[in-house]
Order: sequence, then structure tokens, then C-alpha cells
Amino acid sequence: MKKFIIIILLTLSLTTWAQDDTNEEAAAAAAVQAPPIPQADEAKSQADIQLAYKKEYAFLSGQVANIQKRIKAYGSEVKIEKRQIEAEISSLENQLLNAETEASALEDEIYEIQRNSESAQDNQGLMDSTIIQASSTMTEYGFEGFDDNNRENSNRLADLEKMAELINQANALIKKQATITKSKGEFFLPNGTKVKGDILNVGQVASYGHSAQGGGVLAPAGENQFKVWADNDQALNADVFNGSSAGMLPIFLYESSIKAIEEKQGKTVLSVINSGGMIAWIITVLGLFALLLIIMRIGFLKSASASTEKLLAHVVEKIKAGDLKAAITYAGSKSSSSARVLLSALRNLNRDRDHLEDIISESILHESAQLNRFGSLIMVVATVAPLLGLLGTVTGMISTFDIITEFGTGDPKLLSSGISIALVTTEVGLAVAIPALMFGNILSGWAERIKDDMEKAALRAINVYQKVAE
Amino acid sequence: MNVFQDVWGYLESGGYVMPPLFIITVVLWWTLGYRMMSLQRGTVRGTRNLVYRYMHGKLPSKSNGVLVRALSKGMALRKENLPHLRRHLDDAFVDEDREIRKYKVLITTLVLVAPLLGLLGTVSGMIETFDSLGDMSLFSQSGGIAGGISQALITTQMGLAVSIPGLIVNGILDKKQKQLEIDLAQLKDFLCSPIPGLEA
Repeated sequence: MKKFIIIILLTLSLTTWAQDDTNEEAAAAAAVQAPPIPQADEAKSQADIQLAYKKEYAFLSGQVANIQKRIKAYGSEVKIEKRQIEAEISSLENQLLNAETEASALEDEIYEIQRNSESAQDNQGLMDSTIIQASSTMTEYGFEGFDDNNRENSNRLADLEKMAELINQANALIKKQATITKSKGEFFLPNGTKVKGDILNVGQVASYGHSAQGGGVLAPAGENQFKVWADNDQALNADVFNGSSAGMLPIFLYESSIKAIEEKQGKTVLSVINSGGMIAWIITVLGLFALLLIIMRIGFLKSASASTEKLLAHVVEKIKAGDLKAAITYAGSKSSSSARVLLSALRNLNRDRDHLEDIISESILHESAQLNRFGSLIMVVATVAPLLGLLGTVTGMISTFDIITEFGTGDPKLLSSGISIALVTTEVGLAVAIPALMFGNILSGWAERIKDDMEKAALRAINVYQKVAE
Repeated sequence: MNVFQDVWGYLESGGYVMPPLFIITVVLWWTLGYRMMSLQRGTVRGTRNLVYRYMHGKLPSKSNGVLVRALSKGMALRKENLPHLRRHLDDAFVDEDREIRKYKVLITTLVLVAPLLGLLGTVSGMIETFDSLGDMSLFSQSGGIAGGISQALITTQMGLAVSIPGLIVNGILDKKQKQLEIDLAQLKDFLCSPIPGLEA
């Protein structure tokens, strides 16, 4: 750095010097026109040059010292300045930092304020919608609204006042609805005539009507009208109005008096079968047929099994007494199938055993046709009835979906009532199949037992006879 | 009292198939109990062993199982030296045969019918549900959507609850009965053949 400065200074001085030279040359040039200089001697000129040199040297070294001094001064100056500048920079940096923290604090504050304003807006909206909702709910019970349109801006109620007003109204209404009120009014009798009379309201959930023509428990008939519900007790109802009621009181609870409530038609067996249509009737006929068969089969089996025990006891007694003829006539006098089997055994008692057993099993086979009669038919009904029910359900579903493709699914009543009617045939089918299955099974078991009994009775008779014969 | 009311409420919510199901339950378990009592062997030993113990008078006198009864009848008949002993045995064992077969058909039928009754209740509950869906009445005098669904579920549950235990117990009893039939047949064979040590 210093060298560089020195060099620069040297060049500067040299240039100035050169300019001096040019001035000297110009002077020289001017001197050319002057008379020529006389020749100097060598030694003097040498000495002159030496002198000039010395002068020049002294001058230059002075200059150098001067410059060096200046450089020193300049360096110290620079140092001071640098220090000043650095101090300034650090102070500025501090300032910047302070400003930045202030800015972020301000931003936070702005955000907070925004949030507060948003929540305030939300609350305002909530308040408005609550007021609107409450007003519309209360208008159902005779509230006229705050008629803001007819008031000056300054005169309008504040939101909080509105809220307080609405809450007061609602409280009054709740108190009113929790009491039993009596008033004059009109209602419909079950036959559809409109009568004037007293109406007793139990809050807003139940009503009783009383008039000279009749009265009773009231149910909503739509549009704030009421009708007498079908099943009620006139005397009890009159007692309610005289204030002397005792014991249980029928009540019809409703949600609102706007929506009419239709009385559901009571389901009878016939109406259910009718709603199932043709297939339900077919199943019913099958069921009645099966019932007839079951009754007949019970009759057959009863006559077949008629007191086998008693008959056998008699016959065995007679055989033991050695009176085979009496036994045969006794067995012949009875008409049950076990008697017939016994008879065939008794008639052939003298044959050899194998032959005799063949005869008995043949006669049992003959009787079993009678015992098994209708057995398989009942089981067929029990199998077919649920299948028919399923068929009815499937066809019902198909027609329901046909209706839906035509009218769409806008009305749930179409779909659900269609399905419920379709299910009726399944119900009827099962209702027929279950008893048929049960009785068919039990009667088959009974028939098997009767066959067993007949076989055993014949065996007993043979055994006793052979014992006696020995 | 509370339990009774709970049961009554349960039966009421199931609709018209509940009383028959209840009756079926009572009858089923009564008959199952009867069969359990009647299918007693009276001994744990095999038939051959039984005959020897009888000869040596080692049989427990109080036991009145099916096999023991049949054996005492059979031995009495054997002492009479009858021709066609097997036929007499057939005749003598009739009571036992009848006893071990008693109520078998009834139990099988009841076990078959109970789930079907449950299904019937389910169908009628579904009908109620779809009827109420039409006018969207969740609860109504006749049951409504909720009542219909609860009826549908409760009846099937009841049907299965009656049927499944009955089916299991019935299976065990049927196996016992088969074993007893085999034992009785063996006993007949054994009594009809000469028994060493008895004739001497």
C-alpha cells in the first residue's frame, strides 16, 4: 500500500517535473532566439552538475520525508475513520434489529386483531341465525316478530335485547305447555261430523274432547284440527271433564297438531291373506287341505290303535284258558287294524312258526297301506307351501320394481308397501308349512309305533299259545 | 318379579310366534329330560361281562337301567327252557325297545320346527318394518320400524336358542339309544347261545 502510494506520488512529481521541463524547454526555445551561450569549461560544468545533483537530491529527499510524514498522518487518520465507521455500522445494526422485532410484534398484533374480528363476525352470524331460528320457532306459537322494517334504525332492538325477549317468550310458552288448559273448540267425531264442545289440552302433547254428542281421546287430524280416536271410554272421558276421574286414563300422545295421524286398519287374517293376492290364497287352500288330511289321518290312526293293549290282554287270557275259538270271535268282533292282524295270527296258530310269521308280516303290510294313507301327501304340502310363498314374494318384488322403474324411488311408500305385501306370501307359506311339518312328522312316528305294536301283539299271542300247547 | 317382567317383555316384543316357541321350549326340554332318564344302561360293563356278574350275584340290586332289566327278564325266560327262545326274548324286550324310542320323533320334529317358527316371526317383523317405513313412523301403536326390527331379530334368536341346544343334546341321546339297541341285540344273541358255567 505504502509502496503503491509512493510510486504514485513519484510519478505525480515526475510529471510535474516534466511539465516544468516543458516549461524549461519552452523557455529554452525562447532562449534560442536569445544570443548563444558562451562555452563553459569542463571542470566548472562538472562541479555545477554535482551541485545541481546535490540540490536536486536534497530537494527530493525532503520531498520523500514529507510524503512519508503525510502517509503516516494519512494512515492514522484512516484508522480513526475506520473505527468511527465500524461504530456507526454496529449502531445501525442494532437499530435494524430493534426495528425488526418491533415489526414482528406488530404483525402478531395485526393477526390477533384479525382473528378477533373474524370470531366476532362468526358470533354475530351465529347470533343472527339463532335469532332467526328462534323467531321462526316462536311464530308457530303466535309470535309476531320484531317488525324491524317499520322502525327507525335508532329505534331497532339490539341483538341482546332480541335474545332476551325470545327467551322470555319461550319460557312463558314452556310454562303454558306444562299446564292443563280447558277451552271451547271444535273437533270431529269418529263418524266425521264436526261438533262444538270443550277441549282439554294436556300441554301440547295430548287432548281430550267433550260435547253433548260425544267425545273422547283426541288425535290430530291435521291443520290444528282434532278428531276423536276410535277406541275410548265415554264414561271415563266425561269423568275427566267433571274432574272426578279415577283410575287409568287412556291418552294419545302426538308431536304436533299440524300433521294428521291416520288410524291404521287393524290386520285380520283375511285381510293379510287378501293382500298377498292369488298365491296367498292358493297356499291357504293348500293349508286347509293339509288340515283336513291331518284330521282324517288322526282318525285313521286312532281307530287303528284303538286299545291294542286291552284287546291283547283279553285274547291272551282266553288263549291261556285254552279257548282259542272264543279268542278268535273276540278279535273278530273288533274292527281295528291291530285286531285284524291278531285275527290272522290266531287263525293260523297251528301252522309251523316260519309260515306263521310270514302270514303275520303280510297282514301287517296290508294294514300299513291304511296306516300310511295321506302321510306323504301332508309332507308334500309342508314342502310345497314355503316354496309357493317364496314364489309369491319373488313375483311381488318383481312387480314392486316394475312400479319403481315407472315412477322412480321418490316415494318410499311405494317401495316399502310393495315389499311388505310381497313378504306376506312367505309368511303365509311358513304358517302353513310349520304345522303341516310338525303334525306330518308326529303322525308318521305314531303310525310306525302302531305297526310295531301290531307285530309285538301277534308275537305275544303266538308265544302264549305255544307255551300253553306244550 | 323383575325377572318375570323382563321375560314377559321379551316374549311380548317377539309377537305372535313367541307363545308357540315358549311351549315348544318347555315340551322339548321336558322330553329331553325324560329320554335322558330312560336311556340309562344301569351298568358301564359290556353284555357278556354283565351276564357273568349276574350269575355270580354281583349285580347292584338297586340299579334299574335298561340292560339290567332286560337281562333279568331274559335269564328268567332262559330258565324255562322254551323252544324258540329268541321269539320269547323279542316279546319280553318290547317294553325296553319302546322305552328307549319314546319321544324320539317328537324331539326331532320340535328341533326342526323351532328355527322355522323363528323365521316366520322374522318375516312378520319385516312386514311390520316395511309397513312403517312407508309413513316413516319409528315408533307406533303396532310397533313401527324399531318394533318390527326388534321382532325380526328376537324371534330368530329365540328359535335358534331353542333349537341348537336341543339338537346337541338330541344327538348325544340318539347315539346312546343306538348303543343300547346294539347291546340288547347282543344280549339276545348271548342268551340264545349256550352259556359256559350256567348249564353245568
